[in-house]
Amino acid sequence: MSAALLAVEDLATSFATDGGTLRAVDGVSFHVDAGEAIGIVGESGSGKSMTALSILRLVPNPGRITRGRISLAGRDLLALSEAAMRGVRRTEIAMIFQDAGAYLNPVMTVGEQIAEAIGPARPRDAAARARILAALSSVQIADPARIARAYPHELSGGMQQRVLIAAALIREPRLILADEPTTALDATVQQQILACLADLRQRTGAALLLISHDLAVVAQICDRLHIMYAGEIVEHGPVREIFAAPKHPYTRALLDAILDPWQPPRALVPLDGAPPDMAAPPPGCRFHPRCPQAMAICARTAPPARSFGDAHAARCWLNEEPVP
Amino acid sequence: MTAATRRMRSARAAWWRQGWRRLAANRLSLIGLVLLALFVAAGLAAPLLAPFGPFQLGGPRLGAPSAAHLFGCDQLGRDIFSGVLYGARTSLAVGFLSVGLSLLLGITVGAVAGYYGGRIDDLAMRITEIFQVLPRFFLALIIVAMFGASLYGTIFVIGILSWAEIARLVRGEFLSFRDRPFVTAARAYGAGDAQIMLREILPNAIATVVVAAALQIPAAIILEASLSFIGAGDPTVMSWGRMLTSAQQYMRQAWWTAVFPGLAISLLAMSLALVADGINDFLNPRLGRAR
Amino acid sequence: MSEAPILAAEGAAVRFAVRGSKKQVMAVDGVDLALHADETVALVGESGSGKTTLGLALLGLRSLAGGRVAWRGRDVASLDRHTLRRFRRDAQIVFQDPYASLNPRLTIAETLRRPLALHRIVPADAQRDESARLLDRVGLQPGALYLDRYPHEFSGGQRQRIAIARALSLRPGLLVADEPVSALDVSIRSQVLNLLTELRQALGLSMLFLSHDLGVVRFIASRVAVMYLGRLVETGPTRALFETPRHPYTRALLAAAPSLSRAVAGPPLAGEPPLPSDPPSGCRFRTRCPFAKPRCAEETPDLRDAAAGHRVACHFDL
Repeated sequence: MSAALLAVEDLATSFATDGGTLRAVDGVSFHVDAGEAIGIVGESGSGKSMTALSILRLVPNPGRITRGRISLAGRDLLALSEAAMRGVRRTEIAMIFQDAGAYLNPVMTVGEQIAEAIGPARPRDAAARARILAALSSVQIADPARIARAYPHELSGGMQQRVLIAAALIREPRLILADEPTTALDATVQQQILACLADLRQRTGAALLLISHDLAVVAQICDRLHIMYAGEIVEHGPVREIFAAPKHPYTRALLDAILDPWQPPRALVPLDGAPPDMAAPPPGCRFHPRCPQAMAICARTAPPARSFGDAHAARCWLNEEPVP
Repeated sequence: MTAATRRMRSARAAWWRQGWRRLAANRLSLIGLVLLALFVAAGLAAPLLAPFGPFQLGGPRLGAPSAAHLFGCDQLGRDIFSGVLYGARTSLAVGFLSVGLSLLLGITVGAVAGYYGGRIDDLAMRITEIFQVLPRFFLALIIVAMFGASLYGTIFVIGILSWAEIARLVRGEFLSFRDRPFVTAARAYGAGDAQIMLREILPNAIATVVVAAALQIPAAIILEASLSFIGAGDPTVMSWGRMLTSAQQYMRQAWWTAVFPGLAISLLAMSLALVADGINDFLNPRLGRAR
Repeated sequence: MSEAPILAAEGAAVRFAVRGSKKQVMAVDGVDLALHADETVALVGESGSGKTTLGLALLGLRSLAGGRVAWRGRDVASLDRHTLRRFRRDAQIVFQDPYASLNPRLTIAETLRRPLALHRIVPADAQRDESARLLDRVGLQPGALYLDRYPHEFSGGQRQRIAIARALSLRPGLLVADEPVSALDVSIRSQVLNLLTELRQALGLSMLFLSHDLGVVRFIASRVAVMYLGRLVETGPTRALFETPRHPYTRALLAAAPSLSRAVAGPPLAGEPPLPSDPPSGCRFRTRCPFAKPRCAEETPDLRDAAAGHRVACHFDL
């Protein structure tokens, strides 16, 4: 196996709160190879956003990364100084968030903010201008000169997101971390953004780690998928395989919940209950209180991981032979 | 009493209990509350606690603190400890009553402006602005000239000068809450404007306002002192402000003339600020610090 | 439909003034939409389409700049206070954001009590029990346990259930649901959708379901109306509209919906959504329509019948 671009091993991030220690991320391991597109899918409280923030070491107070290793092209990111990490954030990993408008400074024009992304010196010469306009064109903005002069509030949500993508990609990072980049946007705009991301990946060869609650979105753009629940990865594998033959009841439930407008409607069989309180997760398999197929052992012991061929694995007692 | 009424009453009691628990969890605000209570008690019990009358002469002029005069005496031989005790009444009365007036005016104008918007808002804001730019002493002098210097006059003036800030705050809060879904839901089930303003929006807006009001009280006390300085204050009541202004000349020789009234103002101001914080905790059922 | 619709917009128009400029935005510009007993109509549109504004206007919560809204045949704007109160009982709303739908300062008991008290649905000493019963009905059991809590103690899905309970407390005939599941997690979404469907059947409710999510729309609606920039572009029975969409915008929406059953997503819709304050002349969709012709800029197409109950606002048969 080629050396992975990003390797996360047994990552754990916790928050100390009045109500106890909240283990938002609890032993997550995965890797992203150069040029790959990986998806992390989960609902609120699954820990997916915190995983991304942990990789960038932007975990908000009072959270702390309590264990694990994160290496980018062999370098241990957790061992770097803050200054070195800032360099990594600027040039090697780009992050795109949900709600683009909140991440744009309302009193600076778009062009100025992209210039900031180029470097702290904020160059104003012709070469810098050309780079800014090129960046805006690369995200399919039709009139880059006009948009560069505009303020964020004058742009639609989709445009704001594309501006952020342009700023993120201007240093040609090797890895793009996108946390729900299209969630607040309309479907037609979402399609544009995804097409834009796909196009950029093709041109720059950057790898993509896409975090979303929307399986269908992830399926469109990613090669491999990780399903997170209650701070852990419960299943991972190639997208097609997971969709064809999911090996975890939660994955199955997520797939069942998809309402496809191209298919006639069918009955929904919802999952009972709600995601657990991360300060006191259920013992054994964390999913067992909601699992329609839970067994006695599920409440006692956490299931081991089992592989199913091409890098497809899941943690579920149902997959163990003989079923205990 | 039906079972339902009993449950409702216990629910209300639970609200108080939970509120107190939240407030009590904030150590500093508890200290503030205790301090405030001490001041109020001191003011109320002044005739009992004070060894002398507030204007009573006869002590050693600029006498240092001693057994007979705990806080020493001022330049006319008046006991400063008694002055501080009686002054507590004046300061608390001025502080609370003037801010009470300012709250009444400010909330009314701000709520109407913020809720209705449009021309009503424009009109209300122009009026507010007029009051914000009024030169304070000029207005005070006019009122004194018209009505004579009196405690209630002072309270009235300070209230008139302070309501504009409250109105702006309240207007901002009402603007922000007016289009929230839960307010639209109330309109959708037929609640009237008054009901919505008072019972849906105001409970949400009140926290910011209470804090601002609590912080206006020390300002009011100091403003009263300034008014006393220019002769617009009530000459028949003792106040800390007046004690401070007369102490200006003697501070260097007799530090006690300034320090004790000054400490009183500072401690009262601090206790009010801490209590304001506690009130916020009491009213706000939100979860604790870290999320 | 022979009987009068429960709620109908006739040429409804809603105008917003943009503060700080002279510009006016016609958020809703001449919409006819009728909701009959026992049906679920979905109003589909993206942001800027005006669907939320139309939903609020239908409930009399936004004033009209033109046209009228009729409740069981009567003009809502001309109702006297007493009848207006009955209207408010009959037509209720559930919002998108469960975190903003409940007054954070009130307990659940108080939130549910107020509409009950205002309309005197039950006498004062029965209000608490009725509130508990409502919570049971929406799946929060035992209801009595949740009454004295505050909204922040509940998850998004639970808050949405409470909001539904509040809407149902007045025993309405019609519910306007404004993206009620868009802000919820996928696994919770299914729960709430099933709840809405079940309640609708059990209580004989009509629903106006606003959404931009076509999968949800196809699941829950019997009729669909598609809105773009303040005007309806296509209406029809759900199946007909999804199987043979006739308007280019409807087709674009379908093409953009992420779906697992289609191998490759089509090319994205070109251009930017026009500003609502400055809509294109003629057909508003023409700036992004792959079939646009000169006529589209000159003449605004009206909804015309294309098939049984299926209407489309386009000059051409596509």
